[in-house]
Amino acid sequence: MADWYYGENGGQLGPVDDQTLQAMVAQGRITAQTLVWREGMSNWQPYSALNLIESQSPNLGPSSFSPPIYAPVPNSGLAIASMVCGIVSLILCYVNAVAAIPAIICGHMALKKINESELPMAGRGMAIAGLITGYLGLLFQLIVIGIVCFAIFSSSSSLFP
Amino acid sequence: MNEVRPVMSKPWTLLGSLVFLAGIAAFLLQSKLLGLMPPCMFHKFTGLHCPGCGGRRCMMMLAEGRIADAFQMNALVIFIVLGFGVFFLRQIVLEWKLGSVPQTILAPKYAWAIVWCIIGFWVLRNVPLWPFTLLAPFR
Repeated sequence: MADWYYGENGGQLGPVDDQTLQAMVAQGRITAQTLVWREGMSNWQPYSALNLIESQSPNLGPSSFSPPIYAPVPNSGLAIASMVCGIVSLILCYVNAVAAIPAIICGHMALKKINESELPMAGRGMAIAGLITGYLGLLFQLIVIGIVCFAIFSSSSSLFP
Repeated sequence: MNEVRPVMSKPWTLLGSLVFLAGIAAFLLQSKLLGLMPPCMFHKFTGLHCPGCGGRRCMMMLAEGRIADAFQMNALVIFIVLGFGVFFLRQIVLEWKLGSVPQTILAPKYAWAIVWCIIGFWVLRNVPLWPFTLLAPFR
């Protein structure tokens, strides 16, 4: 019951077990060119290149408590940076944009990299999370700037004790 | 460039130390910093709380040992700080044990969960009904 990952639309999907993998092949969802990977393989391979005996090799035992292993394709950290900056931008006061703008930039860069990469890259979820929180942070900052401008132009002194 | 190498070989330790020191500095200097800052415009104008509202007061209460009050000030910030703390510690330990740290990848469902928690917290803490009022800071 190995854990297989497969590439679709530039992203990594999975894990699926042997049976599900075979079912997807039968459906045509996984073709001979679909890149697949499983723990123990040194790199992604097209499905057609797999030695079928490999899928019957003994399971290496359950992974430790570490999270599911994704294939050895670096995601360059842009997606993580985007998500962290995005979260911080919603927590900060006064200067949300300082974190929101890097979140948005890194998020778009990460998505571009993931979409253009030949090998399936992980991190799409993180990049999208970073983009959403980054845009919300930026929106919040713009609202606050709008409030300040309104206060100044309406020359109302009640907001400034 | 070679002199920079030993420091940059442990980027997580470096980053973690900087963030930690910045936090301590902010904590020690906060009364001075507060004097310089205007009141929060969003809250003054709309009366609503943003996701970070109460974050500073939350840290103060934790320092004073008032845990329950701290949770009311800003529960989200507590979890985020804990989360980042655990993450950084894990990265630093792995950095020293393994030399370089494997890529951290959060599955989309967890990334989405975090986003929904933040948005949900932002909305719910502004609902003027108990028990949601427990999420909003008191003066």
